[in-house]
Amino acid sequence: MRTEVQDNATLHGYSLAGMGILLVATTGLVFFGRDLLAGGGPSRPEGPDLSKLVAIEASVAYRKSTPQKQPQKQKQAPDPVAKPEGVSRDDKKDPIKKPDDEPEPKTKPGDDDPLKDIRRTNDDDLEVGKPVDPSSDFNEKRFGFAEETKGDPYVQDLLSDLVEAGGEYPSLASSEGYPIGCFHMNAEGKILDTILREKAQPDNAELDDFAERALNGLKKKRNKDPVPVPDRAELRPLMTEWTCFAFKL
Amino acid sequence: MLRVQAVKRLFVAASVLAVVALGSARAHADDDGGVLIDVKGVKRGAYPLALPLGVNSDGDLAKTVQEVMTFDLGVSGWFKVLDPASFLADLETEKMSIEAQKWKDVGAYGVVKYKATSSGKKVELEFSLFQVSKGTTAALSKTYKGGADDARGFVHAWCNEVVKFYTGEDGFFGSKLAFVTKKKGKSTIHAMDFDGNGLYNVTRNKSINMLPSWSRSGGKIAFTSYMRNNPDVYVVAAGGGRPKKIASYKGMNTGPTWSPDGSKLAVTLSKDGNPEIYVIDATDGKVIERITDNKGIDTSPSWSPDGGELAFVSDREGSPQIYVVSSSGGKAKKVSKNGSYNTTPTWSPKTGARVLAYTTRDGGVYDIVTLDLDSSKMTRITQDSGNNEEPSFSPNGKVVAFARTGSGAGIYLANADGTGKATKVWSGTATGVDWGPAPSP
Repeated sequence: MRTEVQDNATLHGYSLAGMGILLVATTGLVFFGRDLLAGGGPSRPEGPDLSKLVAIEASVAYRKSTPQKQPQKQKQAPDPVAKPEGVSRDDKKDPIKKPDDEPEPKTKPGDDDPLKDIRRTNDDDLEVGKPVDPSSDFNEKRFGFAEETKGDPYVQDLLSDLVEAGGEYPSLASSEGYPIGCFHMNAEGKILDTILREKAQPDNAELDDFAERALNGLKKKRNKDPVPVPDRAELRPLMTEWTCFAFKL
Repeated sequence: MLRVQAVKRLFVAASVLAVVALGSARAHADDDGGVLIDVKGVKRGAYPLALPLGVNSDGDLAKTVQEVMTFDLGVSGWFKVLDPASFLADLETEKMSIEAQKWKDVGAYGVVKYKATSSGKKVELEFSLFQVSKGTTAALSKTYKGGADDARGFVHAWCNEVVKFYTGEDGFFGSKLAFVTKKKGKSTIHAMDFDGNGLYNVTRNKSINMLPSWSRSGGKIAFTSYMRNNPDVYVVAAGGGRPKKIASYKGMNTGPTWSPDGSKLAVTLSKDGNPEIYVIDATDGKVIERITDNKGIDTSPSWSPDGGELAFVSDREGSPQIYVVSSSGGKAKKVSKNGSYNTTPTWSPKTGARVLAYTTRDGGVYDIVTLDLDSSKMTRITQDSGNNEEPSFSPNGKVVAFARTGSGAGIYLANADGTGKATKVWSGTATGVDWGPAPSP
């Protein structure tokens, strides 16, 4: 048999617990009510909520493209001239006599080239001198990284692969707007699924198509040869959620 | 007791709501982590276009259609025509439609489907252009009917439609080239389609005929001929016929070029002793304006597209260089800055363009360069491929035709922006290449 005091205490307890639960529920409704209420209406597109993604920076520098072109003149480096030794450390030994200086040429090599100012400056059209090894510029990577690159090398590589997978975007196609495409990757580096999360606005079917081609190409490449996500606290949790790309051409 | 039950019911309801709300929040936490990266700096390139062989078609005709389309769109400077050997689509099943994914898989952005049928001496060509990203609805369709001899012309017309669809500009397919060949002391002016087909003789006399120039309407060709033992200026119907003498002043009458409105010719005359540039009436040769007056030799005039300026060659400073002057005369300005030998300037006919192409001597050989008069930017079109001379722009300024002599002699087309490989359209030793206007749509 309950006393009135017990009943009141129980009621107060229920009341307090109920208020707490209501507070939680109200808070939930405020923040997520739209999703709850939207059950019968148009649902949020598949994939991540873009407003909650972390924007990070990664940029690539391209190795100079080598478009088909007319054959260019080959240049040959001049033979190295052996420098005569002019000083002896033996104070009793006569210094080796230097050969007479050759008269200064009237013109420097290339001065008589009437087109020197308009020659294409392709890698294969360098002026005479030491060869430049482009691999050093690019650390033997396909694209290399721009000086202003920010972000993790893993992300940069991912972006390089994406850009390579997409190939060239046709000059004749519009570059208006930008679609956002995403993929979901696991820690082993396999891409589980891809999605065109947001189409370009204003409408640009060819750019949307380009984004899809790039994502599919990336998925194919990375699933064939997965690159595990480095186990770093600042990277793995992010990269194993949705990774999205805004294709701003 | 009722109060207790009411509060209990409220507790249960609140619990359910809380669980649902928290569950939703949890689901978002799972979905919404991750990163957003901007993709910038994607390379731009030519538009990949698939031109599969037409099905349900007359075999030979279908091959000709594919051949002409492949040449036209490939040489246009805008498109990259994909290798048919790579196609994955089942053309028999697709017929005049496309299965988009199959074309995406081979890198195509556009696909042209066609059906080419013939009946007796009649042909019917039905074309459809698909943008792969937009699915199975054709973006452009056209049907051409006519005589069998018109088939190539129909394909050129279709290709012009494709260019117009993508660029908003007129294509140059179906236009013609005029040029000169020499044989046994005489030289003949010929014309042919820009792709090297349909060669015919414009002049039929046994004299020296040279420096042809198409009128802007395409109906006439002005040229220089020695048929009366003096270099005089004549005009002849583009299809050939009896030439009409236009200018036969004392001394040299040579190098006529039509003004954009077709009413005037710029020519070199030496009637006053020294070769100078004049503007004459295109119908009777009457001098309208003397443009230059100096001790050097002035020759090879070329009109700007708006008719306001003339480019020409002068050796007034010792070596032949390119100058530009107002078409009403005045002080000429030297514009070629490279080397000691620059000749045969031709002005890009593209409206608003102030771009010249000309022949330059570099290391003892002749090559083609272009010069943007506004930015002074020079672009090299040929190098290390024999002697390349006498350039002429396509009607839209996108491609340059020129004559190559020596090894690989012939007439070539190359992109005016210096990219791509030159395409040979005619084999043999030619001079004085001049590109006619685009055919009327």
